[in-house]
Amino acid sequence: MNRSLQDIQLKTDVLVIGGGIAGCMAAIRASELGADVLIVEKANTRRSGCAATGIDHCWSYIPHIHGEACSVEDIVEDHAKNAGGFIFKELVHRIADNSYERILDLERFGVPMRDENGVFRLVKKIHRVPSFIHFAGRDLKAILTKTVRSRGIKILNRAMITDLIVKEGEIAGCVGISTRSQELFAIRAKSVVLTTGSVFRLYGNPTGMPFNLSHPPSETGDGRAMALRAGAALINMEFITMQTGPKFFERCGRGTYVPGVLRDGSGKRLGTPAEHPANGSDSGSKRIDSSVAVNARAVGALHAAVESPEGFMKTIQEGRGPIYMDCTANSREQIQYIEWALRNEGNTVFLDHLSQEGFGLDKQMIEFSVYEPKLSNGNSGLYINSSCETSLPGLYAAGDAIGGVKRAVCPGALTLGWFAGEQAAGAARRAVCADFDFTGEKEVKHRKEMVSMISNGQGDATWQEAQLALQNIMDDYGGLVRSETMLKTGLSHLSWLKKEMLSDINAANPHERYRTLEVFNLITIGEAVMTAALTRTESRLKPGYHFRADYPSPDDTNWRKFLTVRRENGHLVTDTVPL
Amino acid sequence: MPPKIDSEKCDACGRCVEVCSEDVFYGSTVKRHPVISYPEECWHCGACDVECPKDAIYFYIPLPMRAKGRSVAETR
Repeated sequence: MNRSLQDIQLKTDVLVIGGGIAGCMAAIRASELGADVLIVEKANTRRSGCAATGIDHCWSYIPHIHGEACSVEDIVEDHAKNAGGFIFKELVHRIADNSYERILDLERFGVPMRDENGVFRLVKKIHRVPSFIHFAGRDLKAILTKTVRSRGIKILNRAMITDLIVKEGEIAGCVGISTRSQELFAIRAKSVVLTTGSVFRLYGNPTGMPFNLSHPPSETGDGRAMALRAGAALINMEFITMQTGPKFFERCGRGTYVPGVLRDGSGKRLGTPAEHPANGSDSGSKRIDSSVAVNARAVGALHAAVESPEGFMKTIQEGRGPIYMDCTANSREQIQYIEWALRNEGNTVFLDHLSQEGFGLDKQMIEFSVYEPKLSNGNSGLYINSSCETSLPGLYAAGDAIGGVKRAVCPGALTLGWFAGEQAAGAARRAVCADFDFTGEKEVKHRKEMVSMISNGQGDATWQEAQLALQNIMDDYGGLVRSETMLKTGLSHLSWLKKEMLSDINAANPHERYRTLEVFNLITIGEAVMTAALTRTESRLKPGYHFRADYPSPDDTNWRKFLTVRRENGHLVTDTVPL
Repeated sequence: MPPKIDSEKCDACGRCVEVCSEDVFYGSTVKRHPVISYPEECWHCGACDVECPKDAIYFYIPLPMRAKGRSVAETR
């Protein structure tokens, strides 16, 4: 690729990087408050992020339904327990407290949150009350995109932001590159909201197919990587999470199989069974009203996989596999409910596949397994304060990109996205915005140099090779079994890989170029993971998985605290934050 | 893995190309049938299928991805 890059300079008040649920909400709120807003999205906001082709569940604290049974503080306590105390209570409180307002917003935008009788379908999962709303969210992103456009918010699709520009210790804008053309964007912004989602493709896929994932492969932690490079801190990077779902077909690994029962190879039940929200005589959904909130007959769990990933692994290791999801005891109505939910969660391809293979959830048990490690679920990510601001002034973050809010998920994206947009609009009003010529900025120069190296290289390496090399390193040196010697070696190997990539990769076009840049970001994140894992000299299962073979037990005396990672003078350093 | 397009049904509206979350249709030309340049990067989100007004898209599922089921009778 020898055509030179074309400089495009843009300007906005609030720049939102990542057009998923959190990003769209941030943009809508900032715009409402009078800011000029631009969303930059790597794909197309209409069908991007975790909710690309749908989401069927979103928890909420609904005062008129839950009020008599529990308080917002109770919800926060449930999160704290689930995360082993590694949670920012103030942020979770804000999420729970504002969740219902945002649900009402979604309804105003046109998302059908209730059933045909105007009632919420509520299921019980991680809270003491049924708090997960099941809804027909297939077109959520399309509806959010329509709302965004109707408010005059600009969207730049097919552009990958690569670097944040910092001037005098504050955010000033960013650099990005088109995923389809030779355009290089230099964007001047008064404040920035990072809503770039989680981190996938960091570890090897058990099926050997890197894009066979339960979550978007395009979420490569670009926000975390660029923030780290700019000097902002990340948190909980040592904790990885795993998920369970249909074996081999990971895309369907987020779904509702309720009621379903997990069984081992001899048919014995595993974990605890889930009940169905459709129990009862009505048409497939159960009503929770304030008088029966706690005693509701229709309590159910979202995933019938109420067996932990560790439980799955133990079952296999003890020779009792395979593990099956058994929905065969369900009624026709219950099976239809499951299929309705799966379709709204974006799993239509899986359902079509099952029927093509001659499988029916009512007749066959489906093999389930643990998937590869990832950094998601609100655990690890950008370190923010209670105003959604990162350690870099003017840089805000929300959604799956932030850490310390385990299980914030959809309501987290809705509420903190909204709030981050509000904060960013405020910061933009206060900002002293001096114009400057971007072409001279060091971040722009550096990015152009790097893009030139990987586009006009003499080598033969492909980004796919680099991705595999990275995943091999993460699996072996920074994965499920860690130790000091292995982590240190792993860091050295990652450093080697970066150098090799710069000299040997040859990206043939803008598509391969952005894939290459994604792998570089994954390496940056891998370094943060290994550095944090090296520092935490203990093992822990909550809030996420961190096992040190050289320190196999939890050390509550020394390690009941958060660990952050940031760059200082070119090196990664760690700090602790009290719980 | 890759989406497949039924060229009889496809009217080259380009919506699939516009929305693909992994840009597997990269390099497609406006008003021509889409090309699937990067089939191995398909996430199976189904966005192309959902947006296609002509129901012209179906999916090939590669062998390593195929789900496994087992009739209940076998284990009881």
